[in-house]
This record gives sequence, C-alpha cells and structure tokens, in this order.
Amino acid sequence: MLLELCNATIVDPLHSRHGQCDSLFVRDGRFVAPPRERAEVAQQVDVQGDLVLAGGIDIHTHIGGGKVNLARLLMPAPPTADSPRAVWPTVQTGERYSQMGYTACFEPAMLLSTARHTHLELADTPHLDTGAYIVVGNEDWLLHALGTGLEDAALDAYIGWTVAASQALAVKVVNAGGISAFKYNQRALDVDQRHAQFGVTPREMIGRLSASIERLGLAHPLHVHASNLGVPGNVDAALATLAAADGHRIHLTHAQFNSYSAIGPYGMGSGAERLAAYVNAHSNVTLDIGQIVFGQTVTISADTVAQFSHRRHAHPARWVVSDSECQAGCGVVPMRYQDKQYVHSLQWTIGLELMLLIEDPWRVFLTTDYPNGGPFTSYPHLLRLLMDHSFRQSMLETIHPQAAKNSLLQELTRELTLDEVAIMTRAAPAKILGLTDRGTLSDGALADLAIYHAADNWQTTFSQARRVMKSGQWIEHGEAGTCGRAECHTLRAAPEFDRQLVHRKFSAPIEQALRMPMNCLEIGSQEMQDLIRRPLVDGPRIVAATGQRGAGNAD
Amino acid sequence: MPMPHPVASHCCLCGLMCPLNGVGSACPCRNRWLTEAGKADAVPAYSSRAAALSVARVSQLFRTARQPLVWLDAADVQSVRAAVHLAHRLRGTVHIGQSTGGALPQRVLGRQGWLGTSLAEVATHADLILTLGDDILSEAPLLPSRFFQPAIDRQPQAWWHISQRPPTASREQEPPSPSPSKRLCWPRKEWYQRLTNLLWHLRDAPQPPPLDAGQEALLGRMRQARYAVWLWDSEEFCDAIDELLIRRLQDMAQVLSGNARCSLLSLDANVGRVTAEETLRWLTGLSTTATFDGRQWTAREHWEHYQLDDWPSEFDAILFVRTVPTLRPVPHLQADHWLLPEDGFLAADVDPQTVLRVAATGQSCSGQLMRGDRGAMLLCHAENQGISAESFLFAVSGNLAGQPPRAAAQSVVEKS
Repeated sequence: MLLELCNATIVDPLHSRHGQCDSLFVRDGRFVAPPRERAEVAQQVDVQGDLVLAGGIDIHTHIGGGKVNLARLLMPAPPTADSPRAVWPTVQTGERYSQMGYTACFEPAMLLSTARHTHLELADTPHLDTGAYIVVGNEDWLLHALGTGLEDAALDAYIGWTVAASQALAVKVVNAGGISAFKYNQRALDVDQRHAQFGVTPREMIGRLSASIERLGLAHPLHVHASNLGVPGNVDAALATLAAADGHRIHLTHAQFNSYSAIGPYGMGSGAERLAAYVNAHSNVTLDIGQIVFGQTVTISADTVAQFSHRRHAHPARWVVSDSECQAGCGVVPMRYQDKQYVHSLQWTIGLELMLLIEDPWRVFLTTDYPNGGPFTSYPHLLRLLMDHSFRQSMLETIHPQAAKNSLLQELTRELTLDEVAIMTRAAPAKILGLTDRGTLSDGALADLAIYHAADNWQTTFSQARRVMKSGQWIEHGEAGTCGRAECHTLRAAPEFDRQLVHRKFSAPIEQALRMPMNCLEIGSQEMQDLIRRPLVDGPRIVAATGQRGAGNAD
Repeated sequence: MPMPHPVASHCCLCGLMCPLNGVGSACPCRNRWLTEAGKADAVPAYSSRAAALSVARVSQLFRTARQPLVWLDAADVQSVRAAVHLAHRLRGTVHIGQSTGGALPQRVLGRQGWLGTSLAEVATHADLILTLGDDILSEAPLLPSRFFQPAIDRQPQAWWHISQRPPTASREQEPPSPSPSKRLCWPRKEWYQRLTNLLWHLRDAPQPPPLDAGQEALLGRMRQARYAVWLWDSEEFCDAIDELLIRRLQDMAQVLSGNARCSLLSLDANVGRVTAEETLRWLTGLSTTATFDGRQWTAREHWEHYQLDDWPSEFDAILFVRTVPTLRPVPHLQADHWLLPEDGFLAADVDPQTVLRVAATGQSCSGQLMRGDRGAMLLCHAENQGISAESFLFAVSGNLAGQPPRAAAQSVVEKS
C-alpha cells in the first residue's frame, strides 16, 4: 500500500529535496520515489507543513541489562513532577523515546555473561530498534593473553567471537584494564601505567583493539570510556587515549566526564577547548557528549574504580559497587546534580562547550549517557540550549557564578541549525553505526520518521512528536503497554572470525574463570527469535578497510 | 557461521550451573530433588482436556474478580511476561512470593550501600573466602569444589567457615569436596556481637573489646587478605536480627575496602524467584509486587508486611504459578488455582482437581534462568511438552479480551 505524506517540510540534509515542502512516499516499510500514477496512492496524510525528520537515533543510552535493573532497584520511589523516575521500566522507556520521535537506541555496555539479560530487556522495549555494544578490555583471560604476546590474528578472532556470541553491534572498552586492576587492589591505571598483574597499559590495549576492529571490518569504531573518568585533570587521559588509537577510528564516549582540567576553583576547570581542538584536527575521532542535566538521576557504569570513588557523593546515600564475572564491574550510584554547586555547574558548561566548539556535526553526538548525566527526556531542553543563544545565556545566569564566569559559553554565540541537529541526531548516528538504511528520508531507507509541529521554541517543538512512524507503521502512543507496536529488531554485526583459533586460545582460560564451557555464552539466532523474542538484523560491515577512515562528511 | 546451542546442562536447584546431569550424579541436592519428584506419581497426570478446562475456569474466575492476583512463586522470563500481560489486562496484581532472606540484601543495600561480587570472581580472585551459616554448604553442596577449589589451590588458607554447628559426622553420600582450612563454631546468638567486636578492631578503635583466639586469628587473616568475600545462603538470614548481622558484614567490607578488596555475596538458590523478580522489575519498575491501576504500575506499602494469610483477605481471586522447579515446598497459600511444574512439590491439602501441571524447566521446558547471585544467565534448552505456563496465561488473557484461546504471543503486550 502506498502512503503519501503531503506538505511535509523535509528536514534531511541527505535528501534531494531537503528544506522543501513536498510529499514523501512510503511503501512496504520504506521510503520510495514518487509514483508515476497518482492513482497508486492508497492513503494520504496531510502533514500541514510540519517538520518531518528521520527517526531519532541515540547511540549511547543505558536502557537494558543487569546494571540498569539494579538502578531500578535503588531508585524505586514513585515518580513525581519534581522528581521524575530516574530509570524507567522498559515499556515506558520505549514510549518516552518514541514520543520524542526516536526510533532506534543502543545500549552501550553489555557483558558476555549477562548479554541474555540485556537482550531480554531490549526485547521488551517497544517502538525502538535496538542493539548493544559488548564490553571488552577487562577480561582476565584477555589481559593475560595480551600481556603474554597475543598475536593479532588471535585477538581478531577473540573480538569477532565476542561480538558474534553476544549478538552485539559494536565493541566498547571501559577504563581499559583499570576495572581489572582494581580487583588486584590497584586503585588507578593511567594511560601509560602498567597493570600490576598482567603488565599491559591502556595505551597498548586501545591501540591494539582499535586496529583489530578495523581489521574485522566492524562499522562502528572502538567505543571508548576513557581512563580516569571524573578525575580533575583527566582531559590529559582523554587526549592520550585518542592518540593511542594511532590514527585508527576511535569514538570517545560521554566525553564531558573526561574533559576536566586540574586548573580552576576547587582544583577543577574545563578542558573542553583542548579536547575540541584535538577532535577538530583529527578526522578519525568522534565523540558523544554525556551532558549533565540538573536534578536527580542515578549513575550506572561498569567502571567500578570511578563508581567506588563516587559512592561518597551518592544522593540518596545508597549504592552498589560490584565485580562481575571476571569481565568488568558494575557500579550504581544515585546522583543529584545541583545548579548551585560548582563542580556540577562546571560539568554542565563543559558538555555544552564541547557541542558548540566541535565544528563537524557528523562527528559529535548529543547524549546524556542516560541515566548518568540525566534523563533522555531532557534532549529537547538541551537542543534549545544549543540552538538558542539567548536562552543559553539566561540559563548560564542560574548556575554557580564562578563556573559561569569562567566558561567559554560567555563568548560562544554559535547556535546549532536545524540541519545540524538533524545530522547529529539522525544521519550521523546512523552513519557512525554503519546503519545505511536509516537516518534519512531518502528513497530506499527504512520508513522511520517523526513529525514535529514548529512551536515558539525548540524545546516545545522537540518534546513531543505529532506523529511517529516506525518501519512504515504509525505508532499510537497510549497507556503503558497497550499502544500499537511496530515490529522491531535487534541490530547486530556479524563479523567473520576463526572459531578454532578462539577455542584454542581462550576456551580453557574462560572455562577456568567462569566455571562453565565457553559455548554457554553464545546466543544463537534461534534463541533470539524464540526465547528472547526479538528478531535479528545484520548491520553492514566495512569491507577491506585500508588504514585511516575518519567519519568525516557524508559520502 | 551458525552458533551452536549451549550444551551444558543446568541444575536450577542451587543456581550453580554445574555440568552434572542425570540420576545418580554426585550431587546430594539433585538426588534429593529427584527422589522427591518420584513421589509425584500419585497425582493425576496432565491432559490437554484438563488444560482447556483450567483455562476456562481461571478465565471465569478472573472475569468476575474485583481484586485478582497472580502469585509467581518461581518462574522463567516468559511466564513473568505473560503474567504481567494478564495482570495488565485485568487491572490486577502480580506478586513474587518473596522470602525475607531474598529481600534482606536489598534492604541493606538501600540503606548503606553494597560491595558485591560474583562466584566467578570468587573462584578467580579471592584469597579469603568467609562462609557464614549452616545452610550454604547443604543448599549448594558443590559450591566448594566448583568455586572455592581454585582459590584454595592458590592459597591453602583461603577458606574459613563460621557456623553454629560442627560438621556432620556422616558424609558418605556427599561428593569429595574441599574442606575449610579453619572452622569457627560460634553460637548463633553471639554472631552479631562477635562481628561487631571484629569491626571495632578493624576500625582501629582506641579501646576495642577483647577477642578470643578464633576471632584474633580471623582478624589477622582478614587484614592480610587482598580480596576477601563473605558468602551466605540468603534463606538462612531472614529476620531483623539477621539484617543487623549483614549490615555488620557490609560495615567490615567498607573498612577493609579502604586498603584491599572485600565484598559480600548472598547466594539465592531459588533462581526461579530471582528470575521472576528481575523480570518483573524491568517490566514494571517494581521488584516484588506490582499492581496496574489503569495508568501505571504501583505498589502499596502495606503489602511489604503481608503474611501468607493476609493475601486472600485482600484478593478475591488468586492464581498461583510456579514454572521453575525448586526444592522449596509449595506454600500453603489459599489460592484458587495452581500452575505447577510436572515435578513440582505439592502441599498435601492442594486439591488435585485445580492443579494444572506444566512442563518443567530443566527437564522438558526451555526458559531463561538467572543465577541466584545475579552474576550470569544461562539458557536451558529442552523440548516443550504440552502447554506451557506462558501459553496458559496468554490463553486466559485472550479469553478475557473476548478472543478465542490461543498459543503464546510474541511478546508480553499484544498489538491492539
């Protein structure tokens, strides 16, 4: 059946009719070219000049898995208007994202041992295509192997296996080696510091892992949670981490939390300018922000080193820090970001500085690292801050005065354009994840779209989409659990790897550590379909990567 | 390349995911279960006609109920999804039959934080394992050989055991197992004070209370350890005094974590209950009891204090659901209808006419299980036999919506 959306203001820099008020056509879940015969159109929907964008894509949001469920345990209070729920159940997560016009979201921290739990929660999150990134870099067996001269072929086989076994889309490293070092009571692991037990450095690991990902042809670069998260002066670690990729593609996640200088009031200031300058000068680097939002939230991270340190600031005063299955850790610490507190105000300014200082909208992504920085429902508010200079200045006056006075926001007059927002929240996330079938309204793309009525400010505009379409089906938002659902999928990479080599090198140490055979960790396609109840879709693979390949501009 | 299905068999009785299988395997826990299961021959066998009648009966029960309740005792993910779907349609309530032992770590965590770990970490990193209580070794008899042995191989003095009873004399039926390098037998009523005294010493209090030889030795060992773990069986520690005890352990873990690593691990062998709780939480945001009021899922505070007899006074229709075998007996709940695994245990006074038997996880039903320490998940593959609890619950939902009885839907919430 051919559907025509008439009078759509097309907001899609990739579309040939971008900026025009024209019709869009949808058939069988995809955008198609205008028909030769008008009579082919079976249904017409008059959008009345409203803005039509591709469905939003959030590349880093903690929406499923054991840590997320622990956060729900710690923050169970019924939500109020002043204190909204910090972590929603899965159905409400899908509902709220969809109401804002998002159609795909990605869980950035999945462990091999708990991958099934992650996929189960994602499967119960409606209206969104989902996927997850597998966390590597702190497994006992991997660190031991790296420390004893693991060859590239074996590393590639192992990384390929972890992605395939966990049905992941991408690879993430969290505080490379640092979580493991903490289990040996090593309390810090800087980029060039050696792991007390295994002898490797984070720099070595980042370099080898980023190269491995390129050899495997994975679309998304190594997704990096850098060392020394939250520590004053850690912008040095962030820069060293990016340099460690040695020109290979690398994505720095929640960069705001790694953009602190050690100079300033209370020994802490903004390193955003230095980091942004590096990003602007190196096309192999991308990053997402991790913007904080004032109010109550809860931080969840595999980085037990950071969370163990932050537990002292827990508000309310309850938390969990736990080691997980010789692979990583799990720290859940509630946090209330206060606008009159210097450090929180500084964090708020840094995130915005990064967004405004980085020039290429294809290489910077708006996230709150939900729920670490704040709820994803704050994205409309953040967009208004970025698109409306006078509003931003008015909010600057409400924060801690020293943080406001020292911030580059005092001079930055840039306002993101609607085109840039469409890139940052749609086209660029699709590109960085290798999802060539979405993020655009162009012919052939998946018919994921959001219709917004332009209000008197961008926050109101983006808070509630008038209508959302997912895979060609209109989403009807209603009471929890009764809304009409489109069929959604788990997106995964499917790298090729040498299974025999993986077993030869790793089956014994994995079984020794986990006390179960390695193949128990493998999630099959049939299992995804029948038991987890979420069909799989393969993401693309970059074939024959030949050295540096920055995210750059659209091809 | 196609991924093979996991091949390790799984025992859902203690949550340790042992590779042992079959009658006669060297696990007293599993042998005990198989022996008990054999006694179920006297109960009428399942039949498909009985299932259809049960669906109709439960549908009618819930159609006329003002306050319907689905009581999940131990369940796999699919059953919980179906139960939540049913409760949503009914504007009813889902409750996870919760022991206070399972809830206790949550209460301590909610008040003072929690330093945790998982069993694989214990096996790989621990140089001091402190087991507390009498049940941890009987409820998980293969725990020492499966998870403590690697630590003992690294450090012969790794395992210390504190209990109130000396070891049993007769161990002919137990598999060969490592023994603790040190046993401390303290009367149960002294545990809190003894642990508190240890805590004073760990905090370097100016005039700490005196310790006996055993406590001194334990103190010295704890101070030497690089990675210490306290473990206990969750069912053994249930009441308010036990909660104070566990808080003491958390206090000690916090002090020791200043210079080393120290964690707590409460082992919950009832993996079906852990599964049900986790699944309910991600679906509704609530862990133990969730009621749908037409707009959102909420919980009423007084339910936290309910005893078994209180539930029938508030709910006029109760469906009891257990889909994962467990050694725990079926509670004496005044339920109207029961769904049980084929080898589930029955209370003597449960009317067989109201019981629907469904295929059991571990023998003839596939399902997702979560290990009791939340450390990992393992899929148990087996063939489906007959109607599953999930199908039953969705069939009831379908009846209530005026639809003909149908098999399980693709997800918890149907597309309307």
